[in-house]
Amino acid sequence: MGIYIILTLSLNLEYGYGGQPNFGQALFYGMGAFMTAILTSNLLFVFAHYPSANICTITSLVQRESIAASNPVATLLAWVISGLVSVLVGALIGFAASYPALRVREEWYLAMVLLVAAQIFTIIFSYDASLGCGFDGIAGISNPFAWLTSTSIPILNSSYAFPSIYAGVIALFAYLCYTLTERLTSSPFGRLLKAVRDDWLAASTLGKNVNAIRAQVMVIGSAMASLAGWLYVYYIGVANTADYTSSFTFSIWVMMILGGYANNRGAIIGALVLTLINELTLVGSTLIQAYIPGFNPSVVNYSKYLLESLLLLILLIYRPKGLLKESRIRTPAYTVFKDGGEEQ
Amino acid sequence: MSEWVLETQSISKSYGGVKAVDQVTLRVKKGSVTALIGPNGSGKSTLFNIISGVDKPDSGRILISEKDVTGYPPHKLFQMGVYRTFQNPRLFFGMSVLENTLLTVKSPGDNPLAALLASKWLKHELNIAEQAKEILEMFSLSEVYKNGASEISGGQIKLLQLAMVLMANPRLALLDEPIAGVSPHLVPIIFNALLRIREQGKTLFIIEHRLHELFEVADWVYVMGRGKLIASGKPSDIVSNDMVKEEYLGSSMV
Ligand SMILES: Nc1ncnc2c1ncn2[C@@H]1O[C@H](COP(=O)(O)OP(=O)(O)OP(=O)(O)O)[C@@H](O)[C@H]1O
Ligand SMILES: [Mg+2]
Repeated sequence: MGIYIILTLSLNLEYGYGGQPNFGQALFYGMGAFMTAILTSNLLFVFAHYPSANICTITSLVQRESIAASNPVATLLAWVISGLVSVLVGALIGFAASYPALRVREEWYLAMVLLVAAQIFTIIFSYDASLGCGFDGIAGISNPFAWLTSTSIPILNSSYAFPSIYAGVIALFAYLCYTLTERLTSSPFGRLLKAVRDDWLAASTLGKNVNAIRAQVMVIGSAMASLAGWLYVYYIGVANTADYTSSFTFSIWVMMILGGYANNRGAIIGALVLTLINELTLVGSTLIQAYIPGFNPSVVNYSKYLLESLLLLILLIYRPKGLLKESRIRTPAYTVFKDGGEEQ
Repeated sequence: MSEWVLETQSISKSYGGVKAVDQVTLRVKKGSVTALIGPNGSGKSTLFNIISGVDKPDSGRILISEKDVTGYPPHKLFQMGVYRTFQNPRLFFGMSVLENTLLTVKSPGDNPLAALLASKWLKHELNIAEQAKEILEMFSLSEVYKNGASEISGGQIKLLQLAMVLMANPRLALLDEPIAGVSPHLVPIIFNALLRIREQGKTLFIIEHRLHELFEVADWVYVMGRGKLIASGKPSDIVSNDMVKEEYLGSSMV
């Protein structure tokens, strides 16, 4: 949930404010995830003084899990380092991705380039087992607080404490990302973003370096997406290409459009509504499965995308700008006027 | 310091087979109001596009205060002090009048890292807001400061364009038809706004079809016809120039 919020905030910063249609959100998210899984697998062995091993074997998986369950120092170090590196790598790829955007003024080329890049990413990581263990993905990434169960601290060592703590950590990061995007967008920088989005040529005749601004917003947005990938891998326990497809990117787009462009609160609402729908379809399918023995569970997945598409269609007809309307860049500049810039 | 803010040297630009601008050499004196006139399609806007970096010339050179700036992108030229308005106003119509005005000024908070810390840009923001307030008042726009630029009248859009020029405080302002296209009763108001800008000692290079008003303020006039510079001189000389009359004034002298 918090992860979807971060991803939607990131896309909304890039597209809602910056006008950069990132159709490769899953790429940055997935890069963060795989970076995290690869680093964590190797770092755990280093910090726990194990001989290095192939990270794809079941043996190494079991060893990883046992380190995570018993060695807090190694686990937390690996967690923090993989997070920092993922964010950095995300930022770098974001910078690289902004490069074609600088060459071609037409924003939709960027969309295509990123869409294709994201596809190539999943194909390479699926078929080249040396990178991310192929279709199986890199499993055995335990919750970073799983070691609490091996301590004697009351309550915290129960089997439900550590998932709750990590859920809290994810919520905290989502909150931080919200604060970050709110600050970024209620500043002169936010004003610049919208100016470049609405008319880049006019913005450049006002002295704005359009290329630099586009690169900056892509760097920030992809760093956030990679951060989400890092959080997700430690939550779900595995980095698998099936989680980073273009249909996933589509879901994030629906969340953003649902919430409303250039409105950070809208992004959160969009993420919440869509997650709720996904949960409902899941619950629905479980119920159906319980009553109809021959029911094929993959129908759920289809029904999910069907629902999303339907929602998008209804939205485009009745509320093309999303649930919340675009918010004005409210810098304190308005306060020098008599009425303080209150909306009528 | 040179007394010429702008010099163009044999600027040419073709679109397909059409020579939109053909070997144009001219210069604009510091502190002057210089007019650029000519019939429709004579290449005036194209020349402005080239001077402001929106278009690249096929050949020729552009100098701003003696520095060769040929091929510079628009934002670099803005930083050199060149401001331009568009014939079809290109404002940020999704943003407020105030935001449009503030966008003409560079802020420390334009940098995303600094943007995160209000202390880095707040003071500057309030300063430019005060300045914007004064300028918007001067141009009778303070009532609509928080309206979207798409919610104000055509005349107000013209005024906002000029308010933004004053706010940007450029070395040279290229104004592409600042008066044309508004209803007649607004003409004197916008013309007054132009006078206001001239009072501030700005160098203005103006394309305008309303010659009557223009010649009242212009120190020097350039005339273009079919891409070429066909005449130049004081306004009084231009109105009595036979070739200019034939090319242009004969039909539409105001
Ligand atoms: N981007 C372009 N592509 C093709 N042709 C162009 C382009 N811009 C201008 N032209 C052509 O160049 C010539 C000069 O146009 P320009 O807009 O500079 O004239 P102007 O003097 O500003 O006219 P007006 O008084 O109508 O604004 C015209 O023939 C026009 O069709
Ligand atoms: Mg023109």
